[in-house]
Amino acid sequence: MPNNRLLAKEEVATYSGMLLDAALEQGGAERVLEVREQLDFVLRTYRGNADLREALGNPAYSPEQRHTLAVNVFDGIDPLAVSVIAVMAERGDLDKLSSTVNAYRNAAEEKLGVAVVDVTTVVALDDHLREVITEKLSADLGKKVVLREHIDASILGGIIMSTNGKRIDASVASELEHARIVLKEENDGGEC
Amino acid sequence: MTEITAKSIDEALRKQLESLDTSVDAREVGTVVQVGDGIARVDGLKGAMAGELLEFIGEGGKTVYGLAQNLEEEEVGAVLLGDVTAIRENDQVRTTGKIMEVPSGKGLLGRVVNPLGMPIDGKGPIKADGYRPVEFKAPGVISRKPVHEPMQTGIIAVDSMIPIGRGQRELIIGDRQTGKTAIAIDAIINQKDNDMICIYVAVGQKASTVAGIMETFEKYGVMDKTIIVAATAADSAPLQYIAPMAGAAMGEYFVYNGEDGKPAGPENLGRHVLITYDDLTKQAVAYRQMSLTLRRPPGREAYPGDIFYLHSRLLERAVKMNEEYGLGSMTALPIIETQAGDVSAYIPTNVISITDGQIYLQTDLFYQGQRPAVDVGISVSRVGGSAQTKAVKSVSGTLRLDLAAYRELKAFTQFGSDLDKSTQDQLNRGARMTELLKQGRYSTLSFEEEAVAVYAGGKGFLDDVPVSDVVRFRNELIEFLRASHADVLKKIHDDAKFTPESEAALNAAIDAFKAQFVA
Repeated sequence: MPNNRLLAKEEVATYSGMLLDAALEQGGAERVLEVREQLDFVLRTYRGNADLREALGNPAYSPEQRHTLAVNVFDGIDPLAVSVIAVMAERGDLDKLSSTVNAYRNAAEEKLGVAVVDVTTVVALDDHLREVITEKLSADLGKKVVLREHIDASILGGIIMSTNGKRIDASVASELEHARIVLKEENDGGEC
Repeated sequence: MTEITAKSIDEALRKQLESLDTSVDAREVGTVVQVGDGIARVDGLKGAMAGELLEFIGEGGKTVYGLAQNLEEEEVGAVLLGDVTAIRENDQVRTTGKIMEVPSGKGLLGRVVNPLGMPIDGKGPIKADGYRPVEFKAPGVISRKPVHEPMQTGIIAVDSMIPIGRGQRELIIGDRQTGKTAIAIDAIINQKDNDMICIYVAVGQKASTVAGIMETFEKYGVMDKTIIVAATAADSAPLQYIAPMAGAAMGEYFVYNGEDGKPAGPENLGRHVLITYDDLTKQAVAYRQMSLTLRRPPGREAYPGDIFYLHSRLLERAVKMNEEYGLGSMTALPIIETQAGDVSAYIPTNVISITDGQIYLQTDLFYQGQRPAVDVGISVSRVGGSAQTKAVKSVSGTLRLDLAAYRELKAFTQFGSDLDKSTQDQLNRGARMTELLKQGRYSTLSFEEEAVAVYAGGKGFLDDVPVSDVVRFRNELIEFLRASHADVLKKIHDDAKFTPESEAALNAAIDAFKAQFVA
């Protein structure tokens, strides 16, 4: 197994580049973002399941067996994503899945000139609010913004936006948490 | 009595919330890739700082804190400080922008806390004066002062020959069951009537041992000026790793702040702290475990490369501040456990080289009944006489010489040859002096009592007392002086040295005691 860092980076770039080119060819920007979504799901599933990680990385299975296993496990997922993941499993490269998905996200956003922003609110966004948020984010990030909307009642109100590892939390739940800490420190004394 | 109304509550809350920053919270987030052995590998968090406190959001929004340790190209390796089982793969991790802090202040005195500063003694919540960072840079040369004031342990063998000064770092080293902890506990008990604040850090010990130590402190009346920081054997390696640093942070509050809680200065003097790390061997083992699970390259004895720096930066926090910074001090008594007397192992040699001297305890001496089992031949204090009262200093010179001569001659007597009178006298004196150093647990002495005991031995008052009666003679002599000649002890205490008058009075008192002493 190559342990050279540069070699590993090249492999990651190859997997992600191949996936991006294929997605672009099949359906343009929409398809690219669709594959991105699917890859996120695959990564979450892979990370959250120790047995799956064990099986797909097990050298006792032949490369063909690992390939078949990956195809069967991710049956129903985007065929493009599955084909690349199956090749990775076959070659014993699934430890690079996280880097590959990250590289794909970055390359896709760069290629399309967009930023995908996850927006969490308590109630669904209406068109007006969606427009306001998109405009504001586009101005801040300097590129076109694609919103991925989520509903979460536990934030109580307000909004949480996250993109590329950055998270802006303007939720009522976090404001209350801040107030709790301030009240606690007021009694505890703060830095001394 | 103030009336409590809705309006007054509202006003109080508004006042307290004045400092609330309502600006939007922007932080970096990552995802847990792998978790196990108290370690989490986190994807993302490219801007995380080394040692930064991370917030892991577990199932149901449960927050567990962790410390960022390994900053790698794609991942961050972090150690978890709380409930490890609450965190799973794919959980969210957030940076906090701050390093780890522990509560500190007077409210902690008399309490037993875990390394996060949370009470574990069931005496209710702690009202802290504030928070201090666990990792804190030791003061530089400018703000320090040479160690010059004595830190009395109340143990004759230590105070007379291995004097410890306020701000010194004196290692207590020895095999298991040689009385290392006993010396540290006696040193704390001896601070009962002075201005010293004591901190006892227990690392990797049994919870029952810690409970026993707390009981001892309570019994001897020092618990109200002591903080016990306990990371027991059941606690995770990260907690055992930060325990000594958390204890140091709690102690620094008193050194750097005056009685009023404001920063110490020429007008607002800092306090004196005695901190015992019991023991650093276990902390090193915990750090080794953490480092190996974080996949850091192992070095000698599988310890990571920065194990020396871990101990040196901790012990460098022991300090004697100068006048401008309030003259506070922190004296450190680290404890190291050796295996079969091997002081040349990795951790013992490291800590020996960092500290300002060591008290070496020997298993052989312990089983011969010489307790405390201090080997005075190889124990040293590099600060030495500058941290000793003149009274003790003037008599301890003779003691050291008598014992050195005794050890040398004793080797010869093994051959069984006839001995001349002077040799015989030296052997007799040495045997009595060695006996004089025996001291029971929890029976610490004040410096004037120690000086009197050594004085009696050095001046030959013990020469005709049977060796087996020496300890009884010493104890009864001190009782006699306390009861009938308190003025002599008081004079030595006040002068802090022997004057011709006090010497004459003391000689007379010892003669009077000898006349009534029944061997």
